[in-house]
Amino acid sequence: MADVKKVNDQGAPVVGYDDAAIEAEFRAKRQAQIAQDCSLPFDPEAVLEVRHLRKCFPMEKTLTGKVTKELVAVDDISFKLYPGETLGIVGESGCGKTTAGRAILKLHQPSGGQIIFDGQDITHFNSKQMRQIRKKMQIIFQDPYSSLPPRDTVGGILSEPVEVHKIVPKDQVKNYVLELMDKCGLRDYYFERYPHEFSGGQRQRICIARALSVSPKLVICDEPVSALDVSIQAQIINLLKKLQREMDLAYVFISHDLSVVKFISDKIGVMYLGSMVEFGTKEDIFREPLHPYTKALFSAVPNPDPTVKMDRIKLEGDIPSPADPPKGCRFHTRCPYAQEVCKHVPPENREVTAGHFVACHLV
Amino acid sequence: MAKENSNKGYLSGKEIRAIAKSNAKEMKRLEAYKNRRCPESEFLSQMADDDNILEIQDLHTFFFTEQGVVKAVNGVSYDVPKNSVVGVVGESGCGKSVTSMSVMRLIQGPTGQIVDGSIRFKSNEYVLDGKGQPIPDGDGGYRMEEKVYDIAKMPMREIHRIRGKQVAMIFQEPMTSLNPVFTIGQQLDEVTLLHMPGATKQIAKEKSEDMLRLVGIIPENVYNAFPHELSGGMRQRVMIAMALAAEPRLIIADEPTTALDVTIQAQILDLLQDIKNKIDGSILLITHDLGVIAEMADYVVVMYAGKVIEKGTVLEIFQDPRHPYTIGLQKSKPTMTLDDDTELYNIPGNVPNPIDMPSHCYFKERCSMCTKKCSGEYPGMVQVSPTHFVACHLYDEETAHG
Ligand SMILES: Nc1ncnc2c1ncn2[C@@H]1O[C@H](COP(=O)(O)OP(=O)(O)OP(=O)(O)O)[C@@H](O)[C@H]1O
Ligand SMILES: Nc1ncnc2c1ncn2[C@@H]1O[C@H](COP(=O)(O)OP(=O)(O)O)[C@@H](O)[C@H]1O
Ligand code: SF4
Ligand code: SF4
Ligand SMILES: [Mg+2]
Ligand SMILES: [Mg+2]
Repeated sequence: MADVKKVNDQGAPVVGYDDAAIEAEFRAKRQAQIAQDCSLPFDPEAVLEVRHLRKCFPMEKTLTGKVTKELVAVDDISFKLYPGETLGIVGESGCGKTTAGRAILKLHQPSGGQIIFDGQDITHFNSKQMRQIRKKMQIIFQDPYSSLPPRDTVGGILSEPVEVHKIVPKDQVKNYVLELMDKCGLRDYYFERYPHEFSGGQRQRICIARALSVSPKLVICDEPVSALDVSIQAQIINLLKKLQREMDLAYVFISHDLSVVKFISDKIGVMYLGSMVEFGTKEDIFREPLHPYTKALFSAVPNPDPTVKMDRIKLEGDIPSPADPPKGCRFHTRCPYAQEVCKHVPPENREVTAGHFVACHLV
Repeated sequence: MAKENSNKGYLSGKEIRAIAKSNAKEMKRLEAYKNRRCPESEFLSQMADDDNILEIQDLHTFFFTEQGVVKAVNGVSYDVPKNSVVGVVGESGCGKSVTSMSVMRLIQGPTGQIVDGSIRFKSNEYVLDGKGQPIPDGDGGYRMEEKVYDIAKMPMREIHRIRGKQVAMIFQEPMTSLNPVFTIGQQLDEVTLLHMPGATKQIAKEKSEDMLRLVGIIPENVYNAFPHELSGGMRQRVMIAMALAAEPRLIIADEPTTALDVTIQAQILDLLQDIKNKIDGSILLITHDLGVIAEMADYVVVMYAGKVIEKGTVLEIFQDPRHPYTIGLQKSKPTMTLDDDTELYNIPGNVPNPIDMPSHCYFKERCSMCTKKCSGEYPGMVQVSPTHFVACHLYDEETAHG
């Protein structure tokens, strides 16, 4: 993209860039790309296809309600997910992982792009249409303490969705729930107990059981083990993997812990300030991380071997605010390889090898 | 897990009243002890080993709750040698923070109380004259002397001698210890004005700016800013700067990077390492991240359910872990190099209820190596190398120790 460098009237390159022109060109190009991609036929094999998803939150409004400034929490992310597969999404806090997950479930109305779930374009489904879909897409949250209703027994919590969605005849609900509890490693006498009587790990099992009670096809796991102790994390990760095999579930697994993501994912998306800067199979990303941010992220993970002193790629400075992201490549303020062009021209998302996408001028 | 079936945890009215009565009596006694006036000699002590800066010995810190006594710290002993980083790891709720809060005497009474044990700390302080003024040493400085305090026995009115001055603490959530209504500069200056005799406003400001530079912040940008105007990583740096302003000998860092992202975490850990060398002090580092411990610590203390179950040098704990919990903990952590088609090793079950601890090894219900002996007494500390200790019956045959 170095060719967008500004030229003066005489045709000689000028020092500096015309940021407004570059942005206009970038936008036009992207609009065309989005229009083209969103008219492609759906992949019949995929459970979930996300095309150029975007989610903005209004920050400032005029008195008439016109939005004058917005925060782009998720900016143009795309991927496909097949049954039995896990997509891991990693990135620093505030980079938009949760917002992306919630937008996919339409808990936030997307601001742009397309979500195709189970062969249907659900992007513009209303809440009534969504109700039909809901049971097929579930979510598990980070905080197992606040995500369970305190006044209901475990049995009640797990039976409710089964009854609402009429998963089994009424007289079989209890048996169905008990079977599910067994699958999730919950003992049968927990049925009568209340959530506050359980530890974090057990509550997370209850949350998992609740999500799976309606036989979903897709489960979004938003930092499901981050609040748990290491020894309990391992129990929950194994449980999620086992259930995935048994029920052919597709997971979107959001986490900031790279070693956990590596363990559970088939594909990985790395996010920075709302954009997906690298996407590929786990093998691609772990064998050869290409984006400078991915490299820095990987090298920052503390190594639990005291004899290895790691050679870190050190990032300077803080994560910029998503309300006021840097121009050009959003990572340029911290990138050790940043060039002049990076400060002005947003890099395109390019497919470097089949299925491995990277957004960086140097790759 | 064995007890989950029983009705434990549900108390009758009579039981609740009995607990309340015995609690009230204990709390009253301990509060009176905390608030007593006494001569210095009552809380002066001697180090067992002169190379240590902190020696925690047989510490018991309890919470007298309505459900019963929570033995949050139940006989903890460990040392912090000079110029070293001691890492403390363990399951959440195992008493890591309560131990460090005991050192700072920040345990919230009357429910929370240090019940027994000693916390010996070697301070280095100004010699004061009769009027409470420091005495010049004739060299432009002031006369200093080393004293060993037993912090556990200090009355609350004397705690100012060490808290924030000799021992400083960095918390997980910096917002809780920064005051939102004062600027960073005001808060930093305050520390110097409080702890440095004869400091003027000008000296304090220069010192604050030095501290900010030390933690990698350009003072001009931040000195007049309010805490909420800074990012999480910046706030954590300011906290560190504040902890340093008093030139402490010991920094207690309780999960200093847990709220931060890995890339920022790497910056802060580098900074701590750097600063430890610059101030020639020691760091007590509490974290649940084994990777952080491996990188930072010289010595490691592993806690489980209010007790130390293993301690040693970082190499001993990582290359030759002995306690089944330590071994399990290391195997459970997915690593970047682990083959991911295998199942993750996991320790089954949960930590026992802190109000109702068994009399045998607390890890027994989750332990895959237990033997007959494990149903008996709680295992004693066994020394397996000059620096390596473990509390597990599997090693009873090795050179037994105290
Ligand atoms: N309802 C909302 N209104 C305004 N801004 C929002 C809202 N929800 C999220 N944001 C902003 O969007 C950005 C992305 O948020 P999100 O919570 O999705 O990030 P995340 O990567 O999941 O972070 P974390 O790991 O801290 O949970 C943040 O800057 C956040 O402040
Ligand atoms: N204010 C309090 N009242 C009652 N129990 C407490 C209080 N603070 C801590 N505890 C208990 O003390 C134990 C140790 O807690 P803590 O040291 O904070 O754990 P961690 O190792 O995660 O830092 C836990 O069982 C906890 O529930
Ligand atoms: S585009 Fe430039 S600034 Fe962005 S990641 Fe690549 S090298 Fe770094
Ligand atoms: S004492 Fe027995 S039960 Fe406890 S950790 Fe050792 S082997 Fe396991
Ligand atoms: Mg989140
Ligand atoms: Mg803690």
